[in-house]
Amino acid sequence: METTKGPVLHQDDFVRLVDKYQPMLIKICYVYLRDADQARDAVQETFLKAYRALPRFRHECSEKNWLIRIARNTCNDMHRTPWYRFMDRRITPDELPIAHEINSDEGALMCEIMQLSPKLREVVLLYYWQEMGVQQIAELLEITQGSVSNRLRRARAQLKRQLESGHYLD
Amino acid sequence: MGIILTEQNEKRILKNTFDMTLSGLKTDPYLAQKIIRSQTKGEEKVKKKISFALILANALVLIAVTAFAVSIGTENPDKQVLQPAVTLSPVELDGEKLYDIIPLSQACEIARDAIRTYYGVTDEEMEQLLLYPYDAMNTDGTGQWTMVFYSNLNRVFDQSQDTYAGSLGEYRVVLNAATGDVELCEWYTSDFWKHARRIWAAGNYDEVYRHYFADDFQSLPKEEQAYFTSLLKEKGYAVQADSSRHSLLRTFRAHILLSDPDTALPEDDPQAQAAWQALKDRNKLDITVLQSYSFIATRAPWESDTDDIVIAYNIPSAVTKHAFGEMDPCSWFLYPQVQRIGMFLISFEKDTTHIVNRIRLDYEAPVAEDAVETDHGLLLNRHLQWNNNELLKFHESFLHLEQMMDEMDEKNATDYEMVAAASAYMIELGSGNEIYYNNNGMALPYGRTAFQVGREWMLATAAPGEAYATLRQDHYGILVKDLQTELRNQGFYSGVADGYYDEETTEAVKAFQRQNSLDEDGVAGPATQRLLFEDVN
Repeated sequence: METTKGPVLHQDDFVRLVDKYQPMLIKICYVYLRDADQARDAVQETFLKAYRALPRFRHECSEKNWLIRIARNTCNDMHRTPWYRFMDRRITPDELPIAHEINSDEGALMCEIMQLSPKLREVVLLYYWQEMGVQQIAELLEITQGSVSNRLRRARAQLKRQLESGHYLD
Repeated sequence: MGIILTEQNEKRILKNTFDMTLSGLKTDPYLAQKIIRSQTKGEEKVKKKISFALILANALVLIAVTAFAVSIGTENPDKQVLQPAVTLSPVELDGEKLYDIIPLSQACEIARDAIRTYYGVTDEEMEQLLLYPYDAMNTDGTGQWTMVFYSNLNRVFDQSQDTYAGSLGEYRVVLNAATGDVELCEWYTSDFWKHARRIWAAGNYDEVYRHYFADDFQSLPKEEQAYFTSLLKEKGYAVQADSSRHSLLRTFRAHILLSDPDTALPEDDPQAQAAWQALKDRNKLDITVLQSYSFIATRAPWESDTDDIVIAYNIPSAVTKHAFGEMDPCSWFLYPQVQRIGMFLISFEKDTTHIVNRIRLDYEAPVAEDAVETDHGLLLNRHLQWNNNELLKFHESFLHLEQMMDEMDEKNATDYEMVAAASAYMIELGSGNEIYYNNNGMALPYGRTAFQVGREWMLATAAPGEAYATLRQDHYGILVKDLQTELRNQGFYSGVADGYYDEETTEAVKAFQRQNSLDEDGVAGPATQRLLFEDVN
């Protein structure tokens, strides 16, 4: 039950994890939840769970996958509350957490992405931003590769118009 | 003007978009510290050590972010224009080149040759054929290159129709550089039948046969259909003189189960094979036709003591075949059918007739002995009454509902009440619950099980706060699982959250009700669930 690592080593590991993965996780949570404040809450919750679970983590999967899983579950839990369901989550370009000026088409594209249903949004996020392969995604989400491909295809179909008509930086 | 997407472009655009639009999300530099402190007694020494590391790390991050911001700021946002000329490059895997570079001129030559052979185009016409490469894509990293060509086959026309074929066509040539294999495919399917006679004359009978079962054949005039049918018959191809769509209507009126492709049986499953055979023997329905109408063999998604195979209409596969919203012929007529009676399913268990009859009785559906053209016509017209405006009205709620449905675990067992609710929902709305941007304004359901549709319907038609389906003993499904999980979290239930509402679950609900001064009936109705999930005082 107790870990072989002392508390200091455990904490060092943890700090490393937070430093390394917080930027990634806050973005992932934002894409899931579409709200920056909630994303921050979710990230905090995620790392809290990670801290508690870290001694038991046996590296059956990569750290990154492990954390993404926790984050996903956390976001899904937040999603499940009834009131949340009925909130309109449409994102407009000026609500996007942009640090500096961007091409308006990119803003529009991001809003389109945010409009996708959660399952499509998450494969788009993992495939294009995290640049994970179909198999990796299937393992992480615990679905079939066919499902992943299907979802990507559907997402592309919905994003098609914006993708083809927009101008994007080279 | 936009660009034609290559896979690489698409990836680059999307990655960049994510990077850019999420760049403003700030991390909490003290997060680790906060968490550790909250979880331990807080040792001074440890805190100091961590703080230093954090500050250092934070400084580095700041520098990196600034550098990034500066670099982005100087990029020139010029507009993307068409790039007609591309060169192929080899795919490298672990330092090894998978195939050689093909010079573009050679690739064009190969493409011309393929088109010449495939379409039986004369030399004269070839000269007028302007063929220029538009783009090159590596389809799936297997070493096959797909080149997209634009051509102006407007000099090539169907003599029987005495018209010139459209304007530009887009053709896809697949080159396997390693083996030298070339395949000519059509990127968009719409033009096939315009050239079908020439293709037939060039001896590509298989190709014509392949398209015989595709959707665009059904939209040809009857005389054309008859003409090609007789051509194929002469050559010995299996054609359906009597359209099996009619047979389907004649034989059953039953449920449609919208199955998740994940539940599909593998093709080499002996049970599936037996089911297909039975289908063919008893009902003279050919498996090829059914499969082209997107039927699959799947496990019965509800709990059952038998190993029932369900032949379900696999709408997802229909949609992937026609990725941008075109409907396959089965949808054209079967979907209005769904509207009318709610659900449709062909089930093959030990005694198919028994199932069909039972369903007929349940739904008081008459066997339509004479369901032929008229029926189709009526059904088709009703569907065609939908136009874009109608659909747009529902679009908002569809998106919202789809989001809700997506939150559910698709793999869980269906609930018969849900199935019934799904049918009611479909009848009521009169259409699918997902919008594809389709020229005809058609809606297609996509990958939804009846369970999901039913649940969503119930949630949608209930007022906020009352959006709970009553659950009771012997119910099963995702809702029960959620209930059990929440009861467990709150300490009322110590069993397994397996989605089956057993006695233990009933007792747990009673305990919760007791504690909260509710009627102790062990039934988790809206009031009980609302209190449980929302913690409303």
